[in-house]
Amino acid sequence: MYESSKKEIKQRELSIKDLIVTGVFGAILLICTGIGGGVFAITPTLTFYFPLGAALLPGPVYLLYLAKVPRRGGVSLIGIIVGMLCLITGMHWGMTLGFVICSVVADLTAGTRGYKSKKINILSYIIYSYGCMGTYLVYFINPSGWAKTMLGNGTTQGYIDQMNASADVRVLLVMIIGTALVAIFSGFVGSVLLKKQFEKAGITE
Amino acid sequence: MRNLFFDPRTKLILMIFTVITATQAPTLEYECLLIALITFFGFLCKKGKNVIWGSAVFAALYLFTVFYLRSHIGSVYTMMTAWLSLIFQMYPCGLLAGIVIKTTKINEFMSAMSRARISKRIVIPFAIMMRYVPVVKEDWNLIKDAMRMRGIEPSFAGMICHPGLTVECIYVPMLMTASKAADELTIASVTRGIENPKHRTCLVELAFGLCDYIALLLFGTLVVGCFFA
Repeated sequence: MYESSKKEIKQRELSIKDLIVTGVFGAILLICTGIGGGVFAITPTLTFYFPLGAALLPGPVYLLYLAKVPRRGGVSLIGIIVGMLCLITGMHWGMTLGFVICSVVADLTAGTRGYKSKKINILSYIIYSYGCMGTYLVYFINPSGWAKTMLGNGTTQGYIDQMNASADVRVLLVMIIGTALVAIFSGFVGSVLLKKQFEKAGITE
Repeated sequence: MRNLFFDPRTKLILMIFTVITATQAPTLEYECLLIALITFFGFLCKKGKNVIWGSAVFAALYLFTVFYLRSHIGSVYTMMTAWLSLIFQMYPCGLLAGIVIKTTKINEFMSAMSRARISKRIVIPFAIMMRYVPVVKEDWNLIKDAMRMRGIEPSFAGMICHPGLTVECIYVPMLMTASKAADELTIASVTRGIENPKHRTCLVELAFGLCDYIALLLFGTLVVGCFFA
């Protein structure tokens, strides 16, 4: 049993077990993101702070997942599946693209230290958290195109001015820096939990 | 009722059509048409109650937008516009996704995906995810009970009073069960031959029927329509 698990670590490809762990942890990550970010997403004035809320809860889950599947492709797979889910539930395409790109980058980042370094893993979590920002970045790049679908082509100049006034660069900065801070906090809690509980219990490989 | 069985592949294509229609819809009225079609589809799938609620909420949002928002311009208008345009893109897809997830069995989904030649690497985690989401909800209720027994309140107030303890009491059992469940699912699925490299077979015969083609035609017309409207 021990020998076979040792062999598995050396093996670079994802095994069936890894795929199943990915599914289970992906579900928990999704729920944590939903609980943390849901409050922000349904409040119209706070919708731009969704990435902050979404980064709060999944940290410990993410770090335990990296400890359980320390192989290239694991995080990317979660990103691709979550992105697909976003796409079929009709989220903005920016979110799907953001998730896929950020999860691949997060995967490569964590891979530079063989998924073992705590600091690098937290850094990878920060990058992963930036995934759901895709939608808002698209909004900031082109705010007038955003609302076109809803009100037909009756957008006035005054409307565009107002949109630009309410959603200025400060909101964007708060979003980017705030998400990083929240993700660091969540990752820190995660690494403490990992050391205190899961490594002792032998849950990690 | 053999005739009213929709192939999982049809459902997937319908979802893609819905996403395209919802994002490309020229007017809100056009989107109401889409919602009506989804409601009809929901009735055929015997999920009438869900779709009636779903379309009622949509109707409320639509009436609010048409009668209130278009005549009031101000900062409320700006914020609500950004938010509502997001909701109007998501809503039809969410409604259809709910129906599809509730009416598709995992084994049908797996064999339809393997017929569609989608890699196992994507299909397995996806199927496990769909199956595990309700389990988390059950676990959460059990964890809440266990926490109350120890005298820790699983609420926002408890979070403020003892942050460390509350966080530990939620995450540790949740993640322990998750990793045990993952081990058990691995054993169960490997012994049932998930690693079999041969083509997957299924007791339920999956084939496109007349109702699949009609549904595809109706939703497809809407997709084509939004580029010409």
